[in-house]
Amino acid sequence: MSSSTATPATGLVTGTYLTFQVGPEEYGIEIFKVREIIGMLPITPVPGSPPEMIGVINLRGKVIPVISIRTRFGMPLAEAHPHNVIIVVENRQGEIGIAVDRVAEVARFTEAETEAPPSYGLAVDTTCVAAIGKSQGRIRILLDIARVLGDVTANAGHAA
Amino acid sequence: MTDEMMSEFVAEASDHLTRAEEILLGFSRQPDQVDAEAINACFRALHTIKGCSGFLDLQRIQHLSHAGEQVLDALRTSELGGSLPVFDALLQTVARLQAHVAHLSGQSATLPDSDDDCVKMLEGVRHATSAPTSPAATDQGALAVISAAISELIVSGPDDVAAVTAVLNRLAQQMLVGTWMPAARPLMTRMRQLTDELSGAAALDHFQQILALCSQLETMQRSGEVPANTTAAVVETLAAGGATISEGANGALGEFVAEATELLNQAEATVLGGKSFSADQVNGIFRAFHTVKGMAAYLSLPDVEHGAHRFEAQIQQVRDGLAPADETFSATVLGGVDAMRELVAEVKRRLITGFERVAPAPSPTSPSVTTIPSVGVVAGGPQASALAAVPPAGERIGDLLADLGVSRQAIEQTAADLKPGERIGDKLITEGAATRQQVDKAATAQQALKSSADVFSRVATAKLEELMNQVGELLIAQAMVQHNPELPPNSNLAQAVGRQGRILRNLQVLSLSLRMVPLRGTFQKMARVVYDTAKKLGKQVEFSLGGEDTEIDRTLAESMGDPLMHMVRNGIDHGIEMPEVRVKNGKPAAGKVRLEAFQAGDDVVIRLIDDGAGMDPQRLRAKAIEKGLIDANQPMDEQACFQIVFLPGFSTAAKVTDVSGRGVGMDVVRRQVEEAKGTVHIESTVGKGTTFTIRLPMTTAILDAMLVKVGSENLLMPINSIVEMLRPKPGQVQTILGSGHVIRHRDHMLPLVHLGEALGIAGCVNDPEQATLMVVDNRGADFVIQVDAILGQRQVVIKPFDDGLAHHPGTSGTTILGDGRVALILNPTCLILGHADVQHA
Repeated sequence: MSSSTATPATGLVTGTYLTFQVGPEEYGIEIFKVREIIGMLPITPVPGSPPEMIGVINLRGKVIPVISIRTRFGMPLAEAHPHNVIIVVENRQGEIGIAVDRVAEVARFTEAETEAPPSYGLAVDTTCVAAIGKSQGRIRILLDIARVLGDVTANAGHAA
Repeated sequence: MTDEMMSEFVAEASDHLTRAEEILLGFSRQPDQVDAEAINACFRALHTIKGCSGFLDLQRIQHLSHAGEQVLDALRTSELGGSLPVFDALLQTVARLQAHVAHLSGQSATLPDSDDDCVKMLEGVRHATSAPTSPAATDQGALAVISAAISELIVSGPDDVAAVTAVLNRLAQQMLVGTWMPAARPLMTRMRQLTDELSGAAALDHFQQILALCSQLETMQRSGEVPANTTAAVVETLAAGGATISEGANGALGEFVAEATELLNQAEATVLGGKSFSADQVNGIFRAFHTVKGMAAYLSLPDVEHGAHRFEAQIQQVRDGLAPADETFSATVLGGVDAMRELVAEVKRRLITGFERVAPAPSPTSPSVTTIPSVGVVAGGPQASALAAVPPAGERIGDLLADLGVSRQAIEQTAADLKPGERIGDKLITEGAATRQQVDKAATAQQALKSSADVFSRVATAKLEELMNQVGELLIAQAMVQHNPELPPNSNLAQAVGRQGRILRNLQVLSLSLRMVPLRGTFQKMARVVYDTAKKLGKQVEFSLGGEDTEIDRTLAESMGDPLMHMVRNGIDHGIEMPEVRVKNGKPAAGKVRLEAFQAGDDVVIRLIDDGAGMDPQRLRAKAIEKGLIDANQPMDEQACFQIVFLPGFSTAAKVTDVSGRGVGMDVVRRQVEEAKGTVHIESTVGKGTTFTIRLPMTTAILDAMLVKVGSENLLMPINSIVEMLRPKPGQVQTILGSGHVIRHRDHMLPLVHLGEALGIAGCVNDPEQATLMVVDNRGADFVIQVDAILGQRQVVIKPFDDGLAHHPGTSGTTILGDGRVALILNPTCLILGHADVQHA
């Protein structure tokens, strides 16, 4: 997509991110999109749903879908671990869970600490990346969560 | 009768007759200079004579003055033009009446044996020139019937019970056809009740009341307005006839109060929200009044119904573009809202206190007052305020006491003399103006009114949903404690936790019941609507219900009430033909209307089926084009043509009745159904009938389901689709090359669907002979589903999939099980479809 160069320019926002680990990489999502972080719950698979949607959970009486960041970005599933959590984010259609390996920290990034993502060389689909955060000698991939969820809930966008 | 009363009558009647004669003579000299006020005076004169003579049982005078009064009334309402023969006939009548009066006073006046000549002459002039210039709402046929009935009643007198009954029966029959005022029905009911008591000491009194009511009916029909003094009679009728609806009607009345209040609030808010109004807003306001009218009609609240009808008609003008939607309109609506609120407050008051605002007050002198038909005489007089004198929100004890029959004068006097700290009730008792019983009853009523914030409260559905979710969570959390291995068994703690669990389950049952209701209540209301509508229109309808146990979200059941009412009314009005027509077309005289409901997959389906005249799609289209509602060039299929009936303002009715015809009802249907995210589908065949099918998503419907295990997953199969469950015997399962397995079951070969395979669930039992089989009902194409095991029956709350969440068509939703896990609900008929597709692919 040729717009991949334009998008990061507007996505170059500084702010507070919740960072989490998936495999060796550390990712971040804007903290104000995050509703809550819950421990892993029993997930009920939904036949006929896209592969990255690993199922639905009972969030205090509400049934919400959960996507796996690993499956979303084409990584193999890992062994279950007590650190595994579901980050509940709010998007246009309502709440949706994102299963990650473990949460890391809440980090602030100044403008100087962020830069546009490279158009190649990342383990994830670059259209989902808002920026690359560089601070304390670490590199974090800051995700545009709307785009991460976009494909999964694309149908919902049309229905709404 | 005392001589004193008789001589008083003679004196009074002579005065009236002299005055009438003077006026009539003046007219007959200059018939083209007729003064409306003078005609009114004449009318009042004869009317008073009629009333008094009725009371004194002077039948001939009563009969004759009635006939004269009718001609004058026709003149008064310009139905009849003033001409010489008319005034001549009236003068002769006055002369005859004078002879009667002279005869009574003992003078030797010549009096013929019969007044038939006079009556015939009056009727002759009345019918010869009567022109149909009366308002559209009046029905000349109805008027003729009433006046005939009055004449017959006067002739028959109170002694001939059979004749009175026959007259009233004929009148009641006539009420089934033609256009009648909404308040006519309760008047009729009251008259019939009085007929039942036409014997013994009260016979004359009752007969006079019947005549008075007939008179009121006539005035009402003629003017198209409820005379102010009718209120008392009608309210009394409601009280007397209340027995038929009051058992179980209190709930309906409570709902009416709540709903009407809300509708009026909405209308008011809309008007207060701006200076000019869109067509949608005007429609909304109109609908509010229309719905209140409909509900009031069904609950037999003629005052409210009539009030709403009047304002509805005014708003209709604006809706039709005949009047601007400006500040005058706002004022009209606000006036309407206030007036309606008072009427609704009265209903509420009646509901809470259990007694009438206008108390019958059976004092020995009152019959003479109430039996004299005081139509024209008191119009606008003190009794006119009966309707308007609705109390402020805080009921005063004095008003309540007056309602219970304590003299208002005494109350007012006592109240004026009341010293601080003194209680009016006590003082009235000491003064002997009221009994302890009356005061106690009034005090109780006052208390009830104060504490009755509302009989029903409306709660946001979102809050209810949240409550249910939280209760569900609480239950799961509690189960985790109760089944925790760290909980010492048989300890006090374990007991306390157990008790907590029981309370919680009660709470859950309660919270579920808050949302789900069977359709029965909504459906049974329709039985009443059918009955009333059919009766009003003179049609015969056989009404049947089905599936009224189908549970539906409370809000849906509520919101379907109005649409169903409009559909039923319209169906009977436009669909069901008159009995004669039906017989001529080879159908039974009684039309069939059936209302049924069932659950179908994700939806609750409500069907209204009639075997009436059906609808012609092309005719509907032509009518809509004629009314400018649709574009003539727009191509339309049959269904689209049928959907025209839902357009606001569309009506094929030539005449606006209180049943239908304003084209507002069906508009409500579609709007409400669409708000509930449902659809309405119409099938109709001309001459055969019409079927309306409403499909509503069951969304939060509760499902009885069988929990089954497939591999590592638990799934729910709706109970109503399971025919039976079986463990296959050896040899019962056969393999068909290329299309899987079939089961020989009761001489049928049923296809087998392996649920785990169909849904892509790993780790399930593969050998059908080791599995459990469920025979699934698929409307004649039954099939068998193979699962690993059956875990038991559950009642679950359905949580539909999020919008746009892709899922297998064989699953219709999710639910949360007792252990907190999410389980999928199966949609079995789609499983076989999916299965078949796979095979064909």
